[in-house]
Amino acid sequence: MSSKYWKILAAILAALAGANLLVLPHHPHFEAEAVPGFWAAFGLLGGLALCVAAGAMLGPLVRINGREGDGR
Amino acid sequence: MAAEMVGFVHPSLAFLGLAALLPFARGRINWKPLTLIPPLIAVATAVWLSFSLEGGQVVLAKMHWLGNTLVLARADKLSLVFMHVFALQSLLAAVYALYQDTPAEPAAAALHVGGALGCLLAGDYLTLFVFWELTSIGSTLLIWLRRTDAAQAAGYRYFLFHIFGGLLLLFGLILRYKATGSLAFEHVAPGPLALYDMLILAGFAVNAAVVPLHAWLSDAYPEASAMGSVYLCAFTTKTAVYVLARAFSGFEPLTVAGAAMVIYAGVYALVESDARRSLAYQTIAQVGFMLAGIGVGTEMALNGACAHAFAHVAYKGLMFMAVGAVITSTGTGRMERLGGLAKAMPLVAACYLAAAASTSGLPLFGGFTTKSMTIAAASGFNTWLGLALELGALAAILAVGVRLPWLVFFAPEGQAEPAAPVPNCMKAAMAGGALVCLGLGVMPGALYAILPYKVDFQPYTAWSVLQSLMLTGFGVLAYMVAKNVVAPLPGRLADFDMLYGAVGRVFYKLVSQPLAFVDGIWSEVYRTVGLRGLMEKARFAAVFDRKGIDMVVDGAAYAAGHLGGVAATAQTGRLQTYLAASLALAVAVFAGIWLWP
Repeated sequence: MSSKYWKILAAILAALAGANLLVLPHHPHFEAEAVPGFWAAFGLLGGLALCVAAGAMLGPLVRINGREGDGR
Repeated sequence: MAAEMVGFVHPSLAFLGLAALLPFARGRINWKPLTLIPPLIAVATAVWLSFSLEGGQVVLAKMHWLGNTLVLARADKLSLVFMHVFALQSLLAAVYALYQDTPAEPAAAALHVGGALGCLLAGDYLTLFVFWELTSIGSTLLIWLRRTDAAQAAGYRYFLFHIFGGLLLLFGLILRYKATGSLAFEHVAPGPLALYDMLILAGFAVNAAVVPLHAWLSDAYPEASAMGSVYLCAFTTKTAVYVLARAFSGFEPLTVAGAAMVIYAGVYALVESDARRSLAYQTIAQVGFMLAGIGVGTEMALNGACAHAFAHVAYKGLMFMAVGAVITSTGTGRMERLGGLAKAMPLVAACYLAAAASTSGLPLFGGFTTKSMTIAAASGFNTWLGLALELGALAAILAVGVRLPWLVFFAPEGQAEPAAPVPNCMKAAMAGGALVCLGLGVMPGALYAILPYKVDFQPYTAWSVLQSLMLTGFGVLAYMVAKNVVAPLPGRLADFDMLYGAVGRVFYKLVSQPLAFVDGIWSEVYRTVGLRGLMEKARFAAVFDRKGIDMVVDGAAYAAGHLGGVAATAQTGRLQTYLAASLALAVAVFAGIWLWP
């Protein structure tokens, strides 16, 4: 991804995090949800954790070759 | 409302009639327009029933058989919400499939959809079982008809699994009938289940692809043709979701099963390299959301499960359509070979992005107004369940909301390039699917109006919009940072299907080796004892034949010949001799009668 798109993404995320300071849930499902930035952290750290877990745990698994679905 | 007041044509009949007709239609009639008629009948029937039922339940068709009343069609709001989306998706899929030049696959698809609609309307377990099996046969044919070695093998495994699930259902319904005397397909009270209900639940769980009974789905769906996988992704698992909602809502272990599916399949979808296999894993994960809602069992959770099933059929069907179009054009669905297709296939990319926005739960698209309802109900039931579903939602965003479209449409160009144009029928169906996704997000009230219970849920609040944007936005950031960790690789990942194979081989060895040992001993015993005994027996039989049978037969022949000679000499031709003989016989008879004590 080019630096231009990185900057656009950073601006959007900063705006969302800023909005979270103003907008909070009236009826949070659990206490942490009411903390500003919780869902930003959940999205980032949870996403990284999922990627690393998927890559680390499933990457070394046996890969079966020769049955790829390439047809139409 | 009474049944006779509701005009009703069983939509399955139209699909099954089409399935019976199409194999004989090739070369005789223009069969393609005919494939659109049953879906149109189904749409009309669903709309008509929705206006006619007024919220109640009505028996629409029944028959008596062996002293039982079979309810062939029974409709209420629960069955109708699924019927609406099945009818709609069958129409979109039929339009998509108009590129087919032979009627074999459309015939199999008609059988598949007819069976699924029959399951939705079945009011007893026997009717359900019959349509359940028709659905399985149709879907198996859909896989086989791609006519590749991989499809043949995957279809065979798929069929074995569905036979297993069907047998569980059959055993369950027989035991249930024996225990209760009823075949009625109704809700089972939550709590400890009887053995027959456990068997029925297990049969449903196989079709719902509950982990670890799920590998048939990720194995088979990517092996079907482009149109085949569009049909497969919509009907089989959602039929299972419907029957689970009908019979087992409020059965809490389903929440655990749903959470496990959401996480397990969500992670697998994140690393699979075949685009359709990644979508197949995400199908399992999204069914997990629905099962969690069914397990929670409150009105809001059931509404959420049904609404999410509706939205999922629409957006996952659209995803399979878009990837099918990519495969049709480039010849491959392998993400390590694809890239940069957005320029060459802008409509396909735009339609896929509409589906991706839906699965990511972005505002204005279907997933936002449906998935959030399930998560809200699950969070109210148990915080950890709510968090597990949120993590699953994040996995969906990463896998098929960001990673797949990035790798296929936006990443630097891959080796595979578009070589064939995408047929117009595919484009039309995809555009229709994208409009449905958008409609569900913009006008959720239309969907909420047909849900089983009154909806008391406001999807669009400032907080819910912000929360969804933050989850997706920071999920995108996470993927972009870590995308090399989950880069596509050649081949496919091992899953529980390898375990099934290993268990099968162990079972085979456990059974075959002792049997071979026993067979060896038995052969030796037979050779030394049995064979000798048999030869003695044969020798005795030969002697008996010569000395006994032959003697008796020959003796009888000789006696008959001698008697014939005597009889011939007795026939002198003289009347006196015959009269004398007759008198002697008469005297002998009278003497016998007279003297008999």
